[in-house]
Amino acid sequence: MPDESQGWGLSHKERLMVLGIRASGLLLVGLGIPVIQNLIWLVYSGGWAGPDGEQFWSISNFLHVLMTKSFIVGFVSSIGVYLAAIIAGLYLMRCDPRPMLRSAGVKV
Amino acid sequence: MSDFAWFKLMVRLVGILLIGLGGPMVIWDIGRLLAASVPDSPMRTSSSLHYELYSVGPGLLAYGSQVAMGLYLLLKGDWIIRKVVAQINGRCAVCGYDLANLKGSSCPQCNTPFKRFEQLPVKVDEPKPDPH
Repeated sequence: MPDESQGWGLSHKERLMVLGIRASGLLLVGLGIPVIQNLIWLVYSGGWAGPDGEQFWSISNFLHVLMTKSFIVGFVSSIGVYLAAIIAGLYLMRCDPRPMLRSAGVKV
Repeated sequence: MSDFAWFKLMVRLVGILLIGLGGPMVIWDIGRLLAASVPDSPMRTSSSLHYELYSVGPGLLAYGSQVAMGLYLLLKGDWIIRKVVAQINGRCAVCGYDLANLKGSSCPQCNTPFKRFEQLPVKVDEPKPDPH
């Protein structure tokens, strides 16, 4: 009796497509890893920019600049892209891509 | 070539790509550190090594992680492969255990239940016949 243990009932070609989508998810996650560098730099440099021009790093300085426009722009431009890649990669690695394939005209 | 073997090959390829992308950055960062630490180097000043450590450390950590992930995918990657092929090729959705020819209704490794369908639209392990 056919059941889920036989997979999603995909043909050979369709299964290769699904596996390709999942491999691309893996690649996206790998490409997003350098977010660590930007995250450390943003936290580090943010802590120096105090309101009174302090020349030492402190968490209060960092919290003060956390919601400033420049910080948000910096966050989105440097970290947002990498984070988006990681989130999209994790989604592609675990999602059910059949609706995606159907919308692309593949009969799944 | 089976789907599983094909996917393993793809994962190895992703691993090589990640090493190729992260490796040069790691070498560059290590080179900067070495240049700042060599005694007779023109790049060395009283604070240069300290500055370079702060400057290079985050990059070394980030790209080192990328290279580490690439090496893992290239040399091993079994855990990720099991997770990623779950559900597609007769494998458990949670742990990736091979469910082919099982009599029960749950995975023997993690007890995740799997549903039974009335019928499959396409025969599973054979490609569709070419009409031409």
